[in-house]
Amino acid sequence: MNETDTLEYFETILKNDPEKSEAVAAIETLFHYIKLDDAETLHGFMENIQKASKWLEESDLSGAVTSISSGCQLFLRFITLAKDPENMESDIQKCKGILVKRGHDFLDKVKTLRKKISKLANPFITDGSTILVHSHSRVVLQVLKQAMQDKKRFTVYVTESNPDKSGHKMVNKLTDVGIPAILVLDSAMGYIMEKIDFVMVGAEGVMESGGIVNKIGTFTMAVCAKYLNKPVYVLAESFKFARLFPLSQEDVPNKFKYKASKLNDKVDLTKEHPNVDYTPPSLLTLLFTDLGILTPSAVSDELIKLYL
Amino acid sequence: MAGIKKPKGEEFKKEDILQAVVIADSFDKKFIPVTNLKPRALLPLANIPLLEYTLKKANWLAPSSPVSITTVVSEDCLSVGDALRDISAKSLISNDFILVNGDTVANVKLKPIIEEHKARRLKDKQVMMTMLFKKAPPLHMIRQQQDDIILAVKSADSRLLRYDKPGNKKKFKLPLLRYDLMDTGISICSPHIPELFTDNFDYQTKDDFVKGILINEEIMSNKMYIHVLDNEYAARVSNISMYHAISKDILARWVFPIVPDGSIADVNSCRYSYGRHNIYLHKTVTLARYSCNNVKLDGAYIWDNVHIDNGCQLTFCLVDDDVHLMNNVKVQRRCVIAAKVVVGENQTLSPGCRLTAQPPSDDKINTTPDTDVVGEDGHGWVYLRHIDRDDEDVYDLEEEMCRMKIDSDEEDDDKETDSEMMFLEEVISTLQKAVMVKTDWDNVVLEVNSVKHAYGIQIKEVNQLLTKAVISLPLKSESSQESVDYLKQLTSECCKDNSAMQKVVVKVIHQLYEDDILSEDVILSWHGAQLDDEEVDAINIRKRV
Amino acid sequence: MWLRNGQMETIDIQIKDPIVRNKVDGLIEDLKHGNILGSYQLAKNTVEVLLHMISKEELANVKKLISVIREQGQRLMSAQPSETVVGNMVYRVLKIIRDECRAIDETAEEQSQESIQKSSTAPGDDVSNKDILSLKKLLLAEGDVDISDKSISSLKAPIIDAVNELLVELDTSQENISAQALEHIHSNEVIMTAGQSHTVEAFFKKAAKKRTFKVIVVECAPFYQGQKMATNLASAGINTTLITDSAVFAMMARVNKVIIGTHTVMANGGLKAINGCHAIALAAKYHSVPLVVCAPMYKLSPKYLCSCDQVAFNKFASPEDVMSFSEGEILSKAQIYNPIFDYVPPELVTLYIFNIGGNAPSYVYRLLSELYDTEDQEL
Repeated sequence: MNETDTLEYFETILKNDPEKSEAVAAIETLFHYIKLDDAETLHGFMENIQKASKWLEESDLSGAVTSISSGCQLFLRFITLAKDPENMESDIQKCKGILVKRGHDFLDKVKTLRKKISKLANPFITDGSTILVHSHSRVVLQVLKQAMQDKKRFTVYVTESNPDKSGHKMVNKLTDVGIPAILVLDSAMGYIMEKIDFVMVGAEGVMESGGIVNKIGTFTMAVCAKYLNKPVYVLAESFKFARLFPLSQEDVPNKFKYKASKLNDKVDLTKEHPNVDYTPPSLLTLLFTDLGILTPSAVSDELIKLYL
Repeated sequence: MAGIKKPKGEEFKKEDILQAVVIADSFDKKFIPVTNLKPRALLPLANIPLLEYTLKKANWLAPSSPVSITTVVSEDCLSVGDALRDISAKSLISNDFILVNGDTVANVKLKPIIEEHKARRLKDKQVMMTMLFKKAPPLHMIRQQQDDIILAVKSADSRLLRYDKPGNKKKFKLPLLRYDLMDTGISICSPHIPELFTDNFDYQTKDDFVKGILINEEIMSNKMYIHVLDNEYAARVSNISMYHAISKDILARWVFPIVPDGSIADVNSCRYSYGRHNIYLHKTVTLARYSCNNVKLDGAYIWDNVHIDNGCQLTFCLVDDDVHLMNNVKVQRRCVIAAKVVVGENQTLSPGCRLTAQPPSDDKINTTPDTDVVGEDGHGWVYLRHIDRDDEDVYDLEEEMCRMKIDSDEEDDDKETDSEMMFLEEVISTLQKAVMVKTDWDNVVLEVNSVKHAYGIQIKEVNQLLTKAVISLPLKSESSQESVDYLKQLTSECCKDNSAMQKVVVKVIHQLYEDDILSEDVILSWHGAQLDDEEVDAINIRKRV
Repeated sequence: MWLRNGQMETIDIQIKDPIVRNKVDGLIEDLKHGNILGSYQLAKNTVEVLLHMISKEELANVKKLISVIREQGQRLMSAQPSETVVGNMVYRVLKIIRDECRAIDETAEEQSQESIQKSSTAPGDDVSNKDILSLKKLLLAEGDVDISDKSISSLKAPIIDAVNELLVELDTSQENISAQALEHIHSNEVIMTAGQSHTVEAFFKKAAKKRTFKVIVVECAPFYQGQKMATNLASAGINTTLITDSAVFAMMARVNKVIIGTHTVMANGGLKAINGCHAIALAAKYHSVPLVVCAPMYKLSPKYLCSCDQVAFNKFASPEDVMSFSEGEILSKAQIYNPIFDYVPPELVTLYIFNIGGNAPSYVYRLLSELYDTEDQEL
């Protein structure tokens, strides 16, 4: 499987199921890749996988590089964990068999994650509340839909979310299911903040610090919310956890912030608009993940448990 | 229908079993026609049958040991007296006991009071009863006119000296009167009480009994005591206005911990959630996102399975199980709609209307529903009842004045003509305003009262002046039309069912004419205006004029 | 673990033993009428009833035992939802049962290797490997440990032992907290406290044996528990000042430390404490006075605060204490509220003193994961 095949496969997954997260699609692609992979040695096998994940990360297919990257990282970790010292060395085919089987189980479980998150977040959406949402997020959408099914009455304000105007998409999806959604300008965040009860955002990546990397503007929103003492709730599946500890916006890798094509073209990045920003944990109230409701400080614990 | 439930608290001390008699029937007809199908003690208050409130309280006394309940059914009981006589005959009581009405709502911890009572009895064998009272000054929402009592109490040991209902008496000359208390319907009785009831067959109610004891105090030397509740709540659902008042108190959490989300709730789950502004929601309740069917409920009590269609307006009324109100029905103040009544489209129920689904038993001819009230497609009869004003809100000015006579019997005797005059002015203008704007009488009463206090007018004077004010009202009227209105008001309000008053009114009108306050034209035009009115009383008056 | 709920078959959850049933019903009645005073008594009574249930009920397997306790625990919790301690104890006992199961499991599997049995009651110990790997578990699609069909006979003794240890922990927690008093109270300090808390009282008394300091007690209207606290402290020879609730801010400037008790520690590290504490915490924040909270571990709740109007978070008592019922007329015109609790957000709390030592509010989640099993919290 070469680069174009891989990317094509990735693209079709996303096209067939637009509700699928990029990270899951990336992991799925990698599984597909292993199945077809013809490496003879373990070393070659690992090298091939790393190569494939690099293709995915550097592709320009979707904006969510952060989540693809965390997905790929998780996948690599998965393989390391699966490397049972006894049978691994000897038989690569047998090992692949185990991997593929586990992979299926994993992808099955992933489907239930959003449901679990929405169950956790549901009590926080009280009857009559007003919510501010930034950009387009599938998890947030699912949680709001669930709340709607539970016959709760609430209003959602959605920011337009430039430059890709993904807020428009969000508003359309919300109104389709009958949730009253109002589109506001990005610059109206501060204006709208006093009307709302809490902020609810998704995340492209959850950092080790407990902060999040998300669509540009999330940081602004969190700062505004902090000023007016409104809670900020983050909804994210645990496969978005990434092993990064940014201390400032500068520390967020360029590949997250800019499109790969821009990076490859070596344009002057100071003149480019970043696509994501980093929101430090002190501005977040709670994270709703499939591992439970976490305070930002609990995130690093979960990551340590995984990568220790 | 008379049933008496009698829970027996077990093992207070070894030989000391605590007994309580719960009188489940109320022996009156305040909730008729709703009580035709369902005894009062089982009417739901905040969705819980009234009796439950009493029996839960029994639990408190013996927290761990289960209470055993004996049900005594007495077929021929017609009063509390009969019930107690029956209990005496069956010799069920062996000790001091608690006498409670089945419609009592309270959060009182009785233990200390019982102990107090017992201590008293130990000292003096003649102590008969400790009655529980709740402090509720006049005009308190929970205070009812028919329950008005005046007590004379010995302050040192809270011994009851006199007990009177002021309805029939007008002047009291006793020291240490208390007019700020309300009977809670709970009393702790000594075991002799049922015997006393047996001995005196004329005792029908507890009132009779208490009065009897006090009158015969010299001879029998039986004594009564009272206990005034300070922080705790207790009241009886004795009529519909009390039903309203107590419901409100429960929702405002005065009876804590007996609140819908608290201890009175179902054993298995706390089914109600409590929200801001005293809003209680059942777990299964969901609110529609857009609810705009123009249904307006204001102080309405709606029981099970009631179906209310679009555009209905309900104000201060009680709607029993399975009632169906079709589109645009208007139910006005103090209406009571009994089970299974159907009210047709666009009907308006006049204030105080009581509907039932059964035809009146004495009326054999009328088997079709009262379509003029419930509409063509409706089902129900107007419940005709005897004139029984005492549980109504105060509407009659006359009645109001009578009530105010006793309002402040402890005030000082200093008169000031100046303030009297000012008071008079004020009252007249108030009344005038009220007539013009058609204010609720309750508000007028309130205003008059406040004016009274403002000018420090004595109660006797209030009566005089108020009557004067009423009479001279037309004096201030600018146009003759207003005078006519005034006459109409006077006749229709005062004379419907009171022949004595009719005579008075005739005289009043005559006097007004004589004094040139009312012109002949006015009287004539009033006379003419009401000719088509079929009311016999009005005609009577007119003839006399 | 989220698939489990769907698979759960209906099991008979009635209690068979009449004595146990009576005990449970009695506790429910007591809870409803608020007959038990103090979190410690509540916790103790709950654990005792559960212990009774474990020892007396004849049940086939662990799965059944867990579901009986869950069901009865649910009843207990809903009897008085604002008393979180009851729920905490139910979760703790469930966790003990699960841990004992796993311990047996592991010893059975690795008989040859050294035993890795863990003491489940001592929090702060290293946690069993199986709990840690939640994300890893997801990744490896690892199945849950199946404890359903394990016979109860072999487990009963260790479970009862562990629950007894929990009872001991309850008994000693106040002592353990006050043992830390000297680390936090220094000579000639001025300390503010609010309301009445037995834990804080013992804390002060312990410190007073070695040090001299002043205590300012906030009276906490309308119940005035603070007055009682002040009397108790003064009679123990501590220099005590009683102030009204409204004087808190003015007095804060001269205070070195605020030490309060709490009703519950929420999962995010916030507090559910006596009404008025939020104001005190804000005043302390303004003057940069550290706010120290004394709380035994059994007050740690796995529940989050969803909104201030959350069901059963607060308790509204009779307005009688705020305004007398005999005030009459005005009652029909004014709404009177008498809330009992206050929520204090975690950022206003400087330090928790638990019976196992001092911790920052951000560490609470860690303790929670050691004390409770995530599987039980969907109860």
